Amino acid sequence: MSIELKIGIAVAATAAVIILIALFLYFQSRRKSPSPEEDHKRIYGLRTIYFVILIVALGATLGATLQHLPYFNPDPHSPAPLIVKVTGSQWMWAFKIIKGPHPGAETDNKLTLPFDGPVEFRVTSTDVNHGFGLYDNAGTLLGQVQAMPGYVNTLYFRFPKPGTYHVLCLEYCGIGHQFMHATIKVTGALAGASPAAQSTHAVQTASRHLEGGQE
Amino acid sequence: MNNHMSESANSGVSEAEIAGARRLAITAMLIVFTSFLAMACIGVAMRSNQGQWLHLGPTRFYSLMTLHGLMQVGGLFVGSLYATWYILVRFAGIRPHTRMMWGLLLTTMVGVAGIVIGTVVGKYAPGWYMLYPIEFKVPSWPSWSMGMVTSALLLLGLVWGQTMFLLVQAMGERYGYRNLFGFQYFFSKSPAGKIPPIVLITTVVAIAGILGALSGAAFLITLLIEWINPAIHFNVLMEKNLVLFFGHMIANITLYFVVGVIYEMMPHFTGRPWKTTRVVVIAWLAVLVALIAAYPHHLYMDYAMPVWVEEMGQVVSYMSALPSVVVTIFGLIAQIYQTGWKRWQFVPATFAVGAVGWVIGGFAAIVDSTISNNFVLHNTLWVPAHFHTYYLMGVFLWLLGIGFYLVDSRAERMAKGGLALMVVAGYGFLSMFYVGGVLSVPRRYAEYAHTGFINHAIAHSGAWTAQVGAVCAAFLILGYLVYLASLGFPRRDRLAEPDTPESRRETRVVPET
Repeated sequence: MSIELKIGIAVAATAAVIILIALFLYFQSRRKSPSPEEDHKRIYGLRTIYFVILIVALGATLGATLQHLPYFNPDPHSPAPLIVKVTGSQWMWAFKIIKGPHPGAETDNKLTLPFDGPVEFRVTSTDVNHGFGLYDNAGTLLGQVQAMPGYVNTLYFRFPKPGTYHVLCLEYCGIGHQFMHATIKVTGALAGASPAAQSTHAVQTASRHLEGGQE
Repeated sequence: MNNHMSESANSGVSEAEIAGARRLAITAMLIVFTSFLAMACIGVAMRSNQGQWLHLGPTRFYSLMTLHGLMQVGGLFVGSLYATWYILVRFAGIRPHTRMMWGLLLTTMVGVAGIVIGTVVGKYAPGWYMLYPIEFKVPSWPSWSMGMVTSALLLLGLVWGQTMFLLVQAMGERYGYRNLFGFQYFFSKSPAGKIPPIVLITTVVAIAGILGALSGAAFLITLLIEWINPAIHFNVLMEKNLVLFFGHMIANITLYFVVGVIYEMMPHFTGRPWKTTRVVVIAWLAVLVALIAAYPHHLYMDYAMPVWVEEMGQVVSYMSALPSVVVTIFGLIAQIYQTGWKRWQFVPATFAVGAVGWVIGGFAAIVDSTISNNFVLHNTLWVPAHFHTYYLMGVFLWLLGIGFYLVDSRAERMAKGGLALMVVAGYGFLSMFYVGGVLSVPRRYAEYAHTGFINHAIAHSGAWTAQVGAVCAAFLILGYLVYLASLGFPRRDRLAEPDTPESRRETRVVPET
């Protein structure tokens, strides 16, 4: 189950709970409390319990979600064998391979990479803010980073499997914003591993990206 | 008159002054409501364009998107500001400064004219939180439109900063400046310098708002400097921090100002006290800290930011839920629980239904303020989903209630019918944004047809969610028109005197059986 679907279900369930509570309160409001003062005290007595439950829930979620942030190399002991400079400009993406099979190779709006471990994308811009959004071929957003003039934002990303991926601009950058896209083809196989091992490893790493470390 | 009233009512303001203030508040609210109607129609046009039913072209689409964002954010802010001011005058006894408030409203209209001309005629389209340096880098708009809109926004920032300053000043004169933050409640449960909750809340929120206005003004001044001398450039990340701090503040304080109004008005309908206590003071001081420290959650995808700032953004965003949910929402539930209302009046109904929108939008915001979720949700339709929820189904519904109260309409059933249609259609409209976010559809795309190369997934889901959203939004506007019609039935016999919620309670609430 993708993280988006989980989020969707979580919100729909929360909305349903909130609506049920609202309906309960509506019907309760039609009743008149026989002893409003006592009831008031009783209701406020529940507040501390409510506070404690909420703070525990928030703290636990914080602890779980802050474990895996997208800012770091997910595999620090194996430095990225591929380094690609990505430059956003109105309204195109330029790629330059810094480290990899063809160092120095430059392409516009398309990139071919071997399926070989994490990729270090060094993302910048020549003009305005852009958003480097990586989509799979089914249209699911796998991750993103902002492209800013004067700054290089580094995104470590391991493609889950060989195939075609897409880059859409995810920061409004002017009238050509919606036309700004590129294609990344990830080819070949991970060196030194059996196909089964590759598949498991790739899926595990991808799920770490997708599920924020809840693997 | 209940206990609550005896604490906050004040005889320092004459009936005539209150009547004058009410006229201004009604005028401001009607301006806001008219602007909202126009901008909602533009919203339908934008969703129709995304759904391939209209073909506005990117230049027109993005200038309308900019206009829609600026006018809705600004309009709701003005509505909440004038509602707060009137309720403070009426029930907290602050000096009205009505003439000054008229002047500030008229100056606001000058700023609005600048925005409308700049975006509609000049096709200025950097988006409402214009990320530097887009203002200077897009060939589709002339330089004058950038200068005009930036100057207009700076004018608005100064006017609104001044308005908030005026509120703090008036409250300080009435209650003593040293009492405004409620510190006296730490030393005594019943201190000498008591303040009603709306005074505490308005103080806290206005301070946050003034900080936001300063940040926005600094950003706009740098834009004007570069506009005058194009050789000067500024740091992109600094500019991003300045503008997002401002945007974050105005969106939040718009909501929190009206929360203060609800603290004041709800007890008039329920007859139950909702007073300032130590817990309420702690909660609202926490809101002030959270407002300031949570803003980095807009910058998670800017990896150049220090990681500890991003982590702080998530921790504070989570903690910001506590004061709102534990103190305010809980307090509202305690107000409503077994009040014995056989029939809800329109005004408290909007407060309650709007609070539901606030909670749902708040939960969706918490989801997005989780860094690992933001990685796949940032700048998808999830973002407009959550802020439209707490704006449209939260703040805006509250303002409808306050508008109805100000006009003192007798068309309760008509207003409730309009509200019901708005709520059903509104959640239909919002759900399409949420579904779009879950399906990874990017926000701020004039249309999605060009993304068809991705197995048609984004093009398809972008278009159908926009179409359903447009239809729902059209029904929402229909419900809104019914509500607006309900404002045309003021109680004539009572127009001469300022309305009081407690007098309405005496006459309108069905007695217990």
